[in-house]
Amino acid sequence: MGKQGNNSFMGHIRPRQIRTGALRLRATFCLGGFSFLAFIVLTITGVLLLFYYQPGDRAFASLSELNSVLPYGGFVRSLHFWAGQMMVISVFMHMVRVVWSRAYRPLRELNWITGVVLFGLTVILDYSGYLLRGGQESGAAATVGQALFTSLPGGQALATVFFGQPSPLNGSTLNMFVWHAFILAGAVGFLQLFHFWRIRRGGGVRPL
Amino acid sequence: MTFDQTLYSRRQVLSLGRKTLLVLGIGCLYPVSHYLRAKENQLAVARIASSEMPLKIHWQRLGQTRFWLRQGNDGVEAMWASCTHLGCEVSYDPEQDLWLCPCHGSRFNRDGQPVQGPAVSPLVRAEVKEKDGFLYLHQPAV
Repeated sequence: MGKQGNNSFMGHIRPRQIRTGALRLRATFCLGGFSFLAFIVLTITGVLLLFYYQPGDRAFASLSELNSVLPYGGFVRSLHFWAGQMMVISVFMHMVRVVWSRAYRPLRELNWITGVVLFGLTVILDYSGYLLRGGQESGAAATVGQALFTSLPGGQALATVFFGQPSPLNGSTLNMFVWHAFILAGAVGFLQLFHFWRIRRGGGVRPL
Repeated sequence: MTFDQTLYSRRQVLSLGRKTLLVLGIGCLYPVSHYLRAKENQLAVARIASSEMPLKIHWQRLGQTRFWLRQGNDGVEAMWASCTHLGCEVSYDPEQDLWLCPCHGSRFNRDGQPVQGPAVSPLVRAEVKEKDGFLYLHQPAV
């Protein structure tokens, strides 16, 4: 913030002028904005889930208690689940739109690369959230993920850093929880702000 | 075609939207505070009027709960219908006169003693208190 010069962050987030073409709905279909909305919903409901979720052996039990005992618990959890699914879909559609309108070309190339990284992180977040449910299918998914990691050179160490040591019955571990709730979610949040700042520098997207 | 520019300006619509968001946000405070103040491991409690559920000699389920009630020799008896093996919900089958667990096939006789299957300890009774024409049921703390 501070000075409202051409290069300041706030100056780009709320610009005085914008090109008319960027305001057309068909230029963006609001898909990026929809992804960000899903991310905001995920952050709020995710923080609410943090109050009761217990990673590890109690994961499944704590979630079924949250579902059945807590007022609005099931609603918060469903909202987190569906916003996650919607975010993966809308980020992918956003990518298709960018390819379609050829918005990945130089000047906006760096933002395209940022977006590809964001898409990858979103998918990994969705996957790790699936493991955090701690059911049998999470255990199976964790086994598949670990096998994929270990097939890489030096993958054994990577797999331990990311997965910890899940039992085959329960994919949820403290490692997975830390990656999902703090590291990956934080990285996505930070990269998104960078993404928006670059969009405005490229002269795009409707202001609110 | 001309638009009536004075009807709603973009600024007015956006400010209405902002106010709506504010109201919605304040409206969320109530459910969120309920959610945050709730206890995850509290035991189930139920209250029904004695006249509401005519009791029989056979077990009858109190709808939507795991409490089952019957008229015993010494007053109202209540069962907490959770299998003592892994906690699945058991139900009483009047034809076989047995409690059946759908998960691993445990069976209990009408008084809750294990008959067959992985479960070895009997079903747990729920505490019943009668007061002012109401029955108060308390989930047993196991």
